[in-house]
Amino acid sequence: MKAPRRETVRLITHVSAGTLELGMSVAIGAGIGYALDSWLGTDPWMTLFWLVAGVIAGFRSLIRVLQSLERAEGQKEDDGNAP
Amino acid sequence: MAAEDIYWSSLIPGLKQLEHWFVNPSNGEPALHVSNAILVVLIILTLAFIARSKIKDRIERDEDLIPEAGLTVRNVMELMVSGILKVMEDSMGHVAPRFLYLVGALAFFILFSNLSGLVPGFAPPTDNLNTTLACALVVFVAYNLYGFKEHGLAYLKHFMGPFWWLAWLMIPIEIISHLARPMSLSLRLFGNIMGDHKVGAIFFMLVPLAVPVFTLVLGLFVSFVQTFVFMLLTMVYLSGAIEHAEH
Repeated sequence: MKAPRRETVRLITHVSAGTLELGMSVAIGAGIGYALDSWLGTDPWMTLFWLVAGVIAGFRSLIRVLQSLERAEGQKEDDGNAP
Repeated sequence: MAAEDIYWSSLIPGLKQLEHWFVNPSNGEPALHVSNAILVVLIILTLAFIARSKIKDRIERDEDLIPEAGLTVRNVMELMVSGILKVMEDSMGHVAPRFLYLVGALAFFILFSNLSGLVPGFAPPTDNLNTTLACALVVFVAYNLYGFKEHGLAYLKHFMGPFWWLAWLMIPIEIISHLARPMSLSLRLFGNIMGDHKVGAIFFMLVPLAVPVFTLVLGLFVSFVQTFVFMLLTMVYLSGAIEHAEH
């Protein structure tokens, strides 16, 4: 097995971080919302609000990953074009 | 896991007692991850003390710190520490030496824990969510502490986002994404190592000859990559916490 380059491992790290955080964020948002609802008795508004916030947080981390991927791709192309 | 399984940790009297103190209340399994974590830490400490005493010897005799010939404990430890520092400098810059104690210790513990899963008679501590969550919580507390230490209360400002009128939405979003970090850190490490361990065990059960070697190769790869991933994410979070005010 060929040892992976450090850049590849860095990419793997960011992708796996972003995708896992997408799921985790939604779950944590829903969990916080549900806990607040049962504590304050505001069912269902807190769950809705925190769920939406969790979805936004998750997609924000995913977008950041995609941006860093795009940057890495751009860098690779620049290196290829360099004389 | 059957009770008659033999582990290296059960041969040490104190650790065997410890396993049976911290029995998992839901299924009555002994706490192998606690005893094996202690065993792994003991192994790392032994290696570190051997390497340290050799270096100290040379310094006390006022000799140059030339590397020893061949593959010795000191050379391996020096190689690992300098490798970790190199990786840290690549992604953190000049602040890397400040965090070497935190990130380096985590890297050593996680790497040795992961690799111990490949040795028969060890239960890797990192294939239990409790161990990995402990590591991730250390990172979570540490980067927030460093953030407060670096910026004071202004650290809270970057939770509010770019516009003050969006703060009511940005604060929940930031709280959620910060809480997601230790969760994803711990779940990833735990899932990978546990999955790898289980695949190895199942292949060993099905075909006890030659085939498990491939899962060992895979396990070696996963151990190193997961250590690297944990280290890299720790550094990303740390530098994110101490940088923000510059922008």
